[in-house]
Amino acid sequence: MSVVKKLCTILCMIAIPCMGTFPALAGNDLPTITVIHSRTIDNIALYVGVEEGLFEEAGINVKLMYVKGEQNILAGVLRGDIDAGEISLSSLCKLAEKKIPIKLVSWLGHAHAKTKCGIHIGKDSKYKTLKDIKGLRIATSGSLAAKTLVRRAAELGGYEMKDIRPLWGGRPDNPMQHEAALRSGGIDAFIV
Amino acid sequence: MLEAHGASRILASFHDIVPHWVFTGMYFTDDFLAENPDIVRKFLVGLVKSFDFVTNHEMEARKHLPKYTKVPEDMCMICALRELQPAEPLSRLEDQHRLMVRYGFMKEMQDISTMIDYSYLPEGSH
Repeated sequence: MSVVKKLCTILCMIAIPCMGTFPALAGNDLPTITVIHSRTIDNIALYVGVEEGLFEEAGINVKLMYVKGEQNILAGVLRGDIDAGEISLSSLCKLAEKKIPIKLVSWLGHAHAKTKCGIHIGKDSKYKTLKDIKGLRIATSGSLAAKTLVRRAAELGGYEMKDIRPLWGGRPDNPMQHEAALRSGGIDAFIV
Repeated sequence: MLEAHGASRILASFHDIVPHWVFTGMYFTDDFLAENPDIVRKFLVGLVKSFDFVTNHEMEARKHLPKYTKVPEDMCMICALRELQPAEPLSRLEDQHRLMVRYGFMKEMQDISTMIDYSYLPEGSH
């Protein structure tokens, strides 16, 4: 076998297994963007888009990157380390005030009649409706969105903030901790 | 999830408190949009197709959740999903914003329309 043939054989042996690993070798010379995700169920459309090949079908590769915290994400986007970030409406309103040079191009959904996110209370709690939440000890993340929802919930029940006992920043990270806190009676409710 | 574990019941959902409460959205910098409009359009074509897929093949879509969220599969199959809509009406967003101002969490209303650009969305989705 000539040197050239040997070289070609070696190159083929390297290139063929790599075709699935490197998109360019597999004929996928689509542009790639880095998009943030927050490891939540609410990002389902991003996961489906990647896994079902819907972004590729649209002519783009999407690389998902996890970064915690809107401030960190914004810093990454403004620096150019991340191409697309995720932001809440409340934070967008704040950024409007500061005239930060970003544009929201699509929302990722809204609450509806079957939404399970909201104020969760212990299964055997004495609180039944928003009309009887006087004294309710409610833990929330302390975000602007959570504060707005708690304030509005109190208002719907006919109360003011002084009538309930919010614990800002008191929201645990995972469901098991929520469950433990509710079962222990240390807290009456969560916004989750 | 808490409900499914029998640990809690829902007193009021976000929707009960503020109908159609809008959560989060995707954004790019103004520079990126100016330099890469086609890339953004392609991303949004894929995203809107994903919305349709989740809406029309919900159980199939849910199967992708455990890989990314680390939430147990049984929970991923029953948890409530958002209603996916790429372009929310400005009036809905302003109502939500107005509450924040009314409760003193923000000083005054801002023109949030300057922070939103639906023009990159595919035809028919805005």
